[in-house]
Amino acid sequence: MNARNWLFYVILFSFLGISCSRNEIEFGNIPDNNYTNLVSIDTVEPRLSTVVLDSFTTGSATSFLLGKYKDPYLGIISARPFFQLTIPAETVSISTTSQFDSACFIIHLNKYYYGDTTREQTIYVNELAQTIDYTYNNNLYNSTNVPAKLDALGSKKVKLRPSTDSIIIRLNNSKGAELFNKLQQRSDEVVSDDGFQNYFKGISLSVNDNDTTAIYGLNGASGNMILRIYYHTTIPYPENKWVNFPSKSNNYAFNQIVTDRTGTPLHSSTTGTKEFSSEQTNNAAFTQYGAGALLKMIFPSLKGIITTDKIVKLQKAELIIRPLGQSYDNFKFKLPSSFYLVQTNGTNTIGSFVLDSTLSVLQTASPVVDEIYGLNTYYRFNVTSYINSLLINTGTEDAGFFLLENKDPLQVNRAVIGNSKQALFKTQLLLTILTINK
Amino acid sequence: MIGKNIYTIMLVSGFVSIKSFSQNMNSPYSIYGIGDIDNRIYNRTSGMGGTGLATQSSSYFINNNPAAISGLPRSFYLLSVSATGKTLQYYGDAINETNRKNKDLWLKGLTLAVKINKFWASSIGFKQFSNVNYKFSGNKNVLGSNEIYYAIYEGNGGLNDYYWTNAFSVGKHFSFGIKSSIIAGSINQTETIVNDAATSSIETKQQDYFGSPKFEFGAIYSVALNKKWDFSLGGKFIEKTRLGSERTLTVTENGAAILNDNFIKNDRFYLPRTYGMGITLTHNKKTSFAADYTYENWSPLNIKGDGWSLINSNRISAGIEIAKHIDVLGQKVEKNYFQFGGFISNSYLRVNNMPVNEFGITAGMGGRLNSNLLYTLSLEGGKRGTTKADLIKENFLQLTLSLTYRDFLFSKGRKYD
Repeated sequence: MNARNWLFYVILFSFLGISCSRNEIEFGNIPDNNYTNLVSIDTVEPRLSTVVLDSFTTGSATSFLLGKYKDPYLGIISARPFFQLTIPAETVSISTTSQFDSACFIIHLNKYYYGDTTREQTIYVNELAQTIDYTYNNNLYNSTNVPAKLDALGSKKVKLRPSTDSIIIRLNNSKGAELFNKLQQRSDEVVSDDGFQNYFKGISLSVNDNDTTAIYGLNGASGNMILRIYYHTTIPYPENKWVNFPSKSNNYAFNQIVTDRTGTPLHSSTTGTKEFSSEQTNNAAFTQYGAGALLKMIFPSLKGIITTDKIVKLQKAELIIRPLGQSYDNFKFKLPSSFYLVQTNGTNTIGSFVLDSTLSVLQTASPVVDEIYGLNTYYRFNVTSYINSLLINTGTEDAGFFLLENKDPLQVNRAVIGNSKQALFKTQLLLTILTINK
Repeated sequence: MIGKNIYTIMLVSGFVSIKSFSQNMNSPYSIYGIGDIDNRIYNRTSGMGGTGLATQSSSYFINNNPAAISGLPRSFYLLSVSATGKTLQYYGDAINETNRKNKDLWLKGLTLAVKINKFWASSIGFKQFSNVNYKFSGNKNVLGSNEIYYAIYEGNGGLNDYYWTNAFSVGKHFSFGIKSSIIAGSINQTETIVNDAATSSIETKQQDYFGSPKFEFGAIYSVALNKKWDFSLGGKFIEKTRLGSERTLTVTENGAAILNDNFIKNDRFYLPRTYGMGITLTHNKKTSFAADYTYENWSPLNIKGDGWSLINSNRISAGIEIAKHIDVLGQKVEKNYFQFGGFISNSYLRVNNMPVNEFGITAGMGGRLNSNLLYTLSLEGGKRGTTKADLIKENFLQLTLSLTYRDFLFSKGRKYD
């Protein structure tokens, strides 16, 4: 092969070596296309209902609720914590010359409240008369009750501010002195936890029957409730001292949360889990997960968007949940700061979490509040994947979501949500669909 | 030697074909009509701005005019392949450094030509007729809401010209030819929309399948003006041509078909009545001067869309070729040649009331690699479009390679006159 031919082949293979590339260039109008259309529709009406649980587990509590409030929609909600105390953390040695002074009970609050905090409540510290024990299926429930001794160990009338950090309630001296003597004598009832549990069954806190003003959140971590014995020594010099009996955070710590729904749309004279359609309850549905009221949404008319002459593909599904305008305020009946959704169906079981668009993180929604007119306050969820699943699968007419609030820490916030028949405060399923003409 | 030459042609064809399947050059103007209609010439005349309506060759396949193949020597066959590599830079409002440069490679044509007898030459082959290749994103409005959705639009495909050309000599000075073609291929436009959860990507692919006959007529008159000068006059004519098409729709979701090649409708596109005329003057059989003019009568077809229309187009080209010859067994045989040329065209496309004009200058060379294998290399640089009226200007550089294998039609041992 001569030089000319070599040159030719070098050019040839350089030429063939041209690599290809293509970049996007934003040019021209969107091509004429009569086959695909993106359409927004809001005609699929979510069917709302309220599922009121017969009971729900509240054992192994890490936070407590205490108090009582009267809700214009949901009746009276009462909350009482039950928990055990334990022996002092360190070995206690009290000289025989030491003198008992007083006893008190210290409660630490977690700054949560719901209701009217401008009024006083009387808080009672009660010693349990019976040991706390599981009632069913190794669990404790909101309806569980453990009897307390007739006379309270102590009480205090107090006006709690949201900023209040702790409450100290003076206990009667007889119980305090009894405990002091056992400590001084190093009685087995205050030296070992088993002995102590046999001797002192636990504590429940309550408020006066007529105090229907507010419910407060208490810190349920171990040691945040304290029964304290004050005493003093005289030898070798006068010195004030105390011993703590701290609270335990264990499986037996639970909240009793009971409701009296007499006179409300959710009242039922029979026991068992009940479901109230929103049409039965003045075109509204209720959510107060902490008190066992679950708002349910299903979409029985969803499949109506499918037509035979077009391919219909869901692009986006948003759930707009609107509270009734006068049902909330910024202080007494605050809207829940955050909701999440779980999947459910006709059995009303609480299923999997509804995740965000990445399908890896729990999706939560905070309220967008219309501070001026109060007409356009809503929670918004992107439920595209889930609605698409309901759309393409069979037997999903009774499938939907529960609207729930975080229970850690335990809360009893509530919201009154309008159904699709509400003129101004309707809950909507907004769909964006791609239709393709066949 | 024969096997080696054929192998070279097959290698080039195969390699370029494979690369052509993955065509990636974004051609924004190909969104209109049936894509970028390729009026360029990919043969020996490429280096002269594609000028050759009145040009014939005894060694190379020239198809500017259907009558041109009548100039081939009797009882020879020619196998010719052409490919083009192009680099391009875009300018305009829609262009930034990330999308300014493009390059690609195409197989532009493959031909087998035979001079069957003293009067009749015939060729079959194909060439790229139009090319569609664009990609851009756009906002699609949601009916009943103020929302807009991000959609990606891609176009690809194009039409090929599968032809059978027959040329006939009438006397020593005149020849005429007819090129009978089937213009066939598909033009595909895909819209991709991804749903809000990014879990579903729906592709709606609209495919227009074309397949229609087209006829091109040409004639060349050649005469020796004197001992030094030869003159040729050529012309071609194409009647208005209806390209029927069938449109289908294919819808896939995440790659799985929902609707597969569903027939939608029959449609049509028209190619315009076309006239072309050219002259070639050759001095001492070495130096040729050529000029062409072609007119396409698009306007009466009333083909238009949103912001664009097809308008009458004119193309003028001219070039010069200088050939070197050597003596082989007492006969003058062309050793190689060098060419220069250029063209200017106000194209058939008008966008935003602005014609998409084009011009280019060319240079070429060619010769023999051995006794049977001929090559042609041409380089073209030019500009198309404008940055006015939100349009895009393309500055391009294009290298075209044509290989021609030439041999006796029949077996060895026979004598031919």
